[in-house]
Amino acid sequence: MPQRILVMIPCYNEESSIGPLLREIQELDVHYDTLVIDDGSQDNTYSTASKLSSCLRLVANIGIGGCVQTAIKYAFLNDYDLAIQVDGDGQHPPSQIHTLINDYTKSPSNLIIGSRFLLKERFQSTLMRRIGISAISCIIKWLFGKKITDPTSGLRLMDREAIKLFSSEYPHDFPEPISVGFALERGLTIREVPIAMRTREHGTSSISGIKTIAYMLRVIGYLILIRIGRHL
Amino acid sequence: MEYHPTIQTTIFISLFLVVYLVVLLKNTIKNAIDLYDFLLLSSVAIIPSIFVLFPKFSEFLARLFGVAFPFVVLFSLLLLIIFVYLYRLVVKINNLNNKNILLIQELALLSKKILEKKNNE
Repeated sequence: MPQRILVMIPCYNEESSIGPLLREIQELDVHYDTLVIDDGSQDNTYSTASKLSSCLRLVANIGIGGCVQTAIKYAFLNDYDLAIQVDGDGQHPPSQIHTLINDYTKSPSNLIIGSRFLLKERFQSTLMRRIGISAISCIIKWLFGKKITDPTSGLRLMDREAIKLFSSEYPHDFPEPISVGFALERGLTIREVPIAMRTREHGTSSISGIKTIAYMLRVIGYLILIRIGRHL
Repeated sequence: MEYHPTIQTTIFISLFLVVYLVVLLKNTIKNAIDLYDFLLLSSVAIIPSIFVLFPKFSEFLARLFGVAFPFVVLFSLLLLIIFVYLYRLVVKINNLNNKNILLIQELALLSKKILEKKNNE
């Protein structure tokens, strides 16, 4: 098992969910270093999280991409072997961290993504979002030749090589699917493991309704740019 | 077709040129805009002035580009300048945004490092 593991939890206005999530992680059999990155929240996310975990506070909201990259930079600077991203809204059960690490131990890959669509049970998102995710998945397969069933999943494990790449280059917009394109373009290995997700208990998703279509189209545009980028 | 700007047009355009250039110069001296931006923005007034003050030259340009009216060339040039300026602004804003994100990240990482050092002492 790798020696140093960092669990990165990006947060924005998650004061209701961050406390229970951190307590759940602390109750696991294995101790993990946790790092909460507060992306300029306007509520008490930072004060709640800092009582239970190590925290990084961004003075202004820079978006999920910049927020996650800050944690990846921290992992790189502090020489972590693995960095695991878990969303701060509590949708990812902490028990799934074991699933990712076990899978990495059995067969290491640079990036391991927790996919809610391989294990067809529990929360699988709205129909509109599933259609959008399928379209992004098809585009990734077409552009990079790799089938990724859940490219938008925020539960993912990165090894040293992925940490090194993403600490210097990480998309600021729509980071999850686009970082998959980045990684595949740079020749990193990616695998998916089935995970179960929970429904969000507090707050609302920033992507819903018509925004889903705009999200999908912009992600597809960015992926095409990454693919043709090396030919320009 | 011969092109003759009226005296009113000439006076109006000349006045605009002078006032606009004075305002731009003042802002450039105060460092509110840089010299490259000054050149681009001043051409918005200089180009119409050339067309008005030198009608023969504007007719020559119209013939050169194969258009019937000189104002087609005039507006095409103005549009081109606006697009160049817009492009420069978009690039500048994106660079500033990226630098801003980088600064916020570095600030957070540095604050954390200082806090960890303090806790270890």
